[in-house]
Amino acid sequence: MKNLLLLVLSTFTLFTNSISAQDQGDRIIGIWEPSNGKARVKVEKIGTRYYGKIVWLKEPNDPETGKPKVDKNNSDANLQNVPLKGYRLLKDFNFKSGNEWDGGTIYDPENGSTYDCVITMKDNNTLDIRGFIGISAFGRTDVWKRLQTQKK
Amino acid sequence: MKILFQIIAVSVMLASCGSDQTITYTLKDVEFTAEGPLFEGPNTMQYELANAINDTLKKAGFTKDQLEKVQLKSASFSTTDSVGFSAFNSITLQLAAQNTPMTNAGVINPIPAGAKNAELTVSKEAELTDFFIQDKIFLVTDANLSKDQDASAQFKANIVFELTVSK
Repeated sequence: MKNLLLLVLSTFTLFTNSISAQDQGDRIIGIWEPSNGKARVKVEKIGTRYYGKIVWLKEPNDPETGKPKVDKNNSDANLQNVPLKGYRLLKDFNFKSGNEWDGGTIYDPENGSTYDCVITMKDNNTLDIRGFIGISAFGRTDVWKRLQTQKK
Repeated sequence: MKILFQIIAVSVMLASCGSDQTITYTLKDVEFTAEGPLFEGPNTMQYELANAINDTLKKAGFTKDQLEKVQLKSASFSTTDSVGFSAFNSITLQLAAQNTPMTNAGVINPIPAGAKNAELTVSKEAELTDFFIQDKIFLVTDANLSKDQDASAQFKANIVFELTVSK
């Protein structure tokens, strides 16, 4: 009977820890604005990982063509017509622990380059987005703000 | 996941190249649904594939270990309502999985006015093998809406992959 009780308690603890980790990771879900204010990015979850797509552009049209911006710098000619509105520039992030999501990449549509990326949540409405090549120490950090403000 | 039915058709192409053989893996009438109300801009729809090609390879006498290459051959979307694609500007198709970077596989932009079917231009470079050796894959579709709408959106898609296996 005692063993059974211990088993139930440990199973319950494992279950609640698992739910807690999922909730912690999901704090990043929402709409965020980079510091330059040129875009808004919606972070959502697919499977167990997190992705961010552009949902709004300050300048939606390409000044050269007058048409909606597309991923014209994509190295794959067949994908240069992918619209930037809807483009996933944050990809494949795993919730690590605490306030960090790692293992992902960030895409810069202005030059067609992809960088490794780590996201740190400073508070519920602020993200540090650090893009880098190879080593996190050599990179650049941008501060993104949540669009719909939540309690700190 | 809401699907009416899914038919997996296997056609082993007898014409083989060297020691490799090509198998066509077809997903028919895959349903992508986005529940309304929907907002102007990109709306995401997902379809989860579990153990996608196991049966296909088994029927053809192969295993996943023999998989050399997977590429998207074609992707054709249709709508189930009378409105068609009139409210949509574009559709993109991506693949996602736990251990593989999300990959863009095809796009149609813009969707021609009055189109009943949307045939995506597929990537010639996207190599999808790493997705298909995993147990679970997500087919992720982003459809750009030109204006807000209350109604849900539902697409059906026929998606064809080309598998290259070593003999």
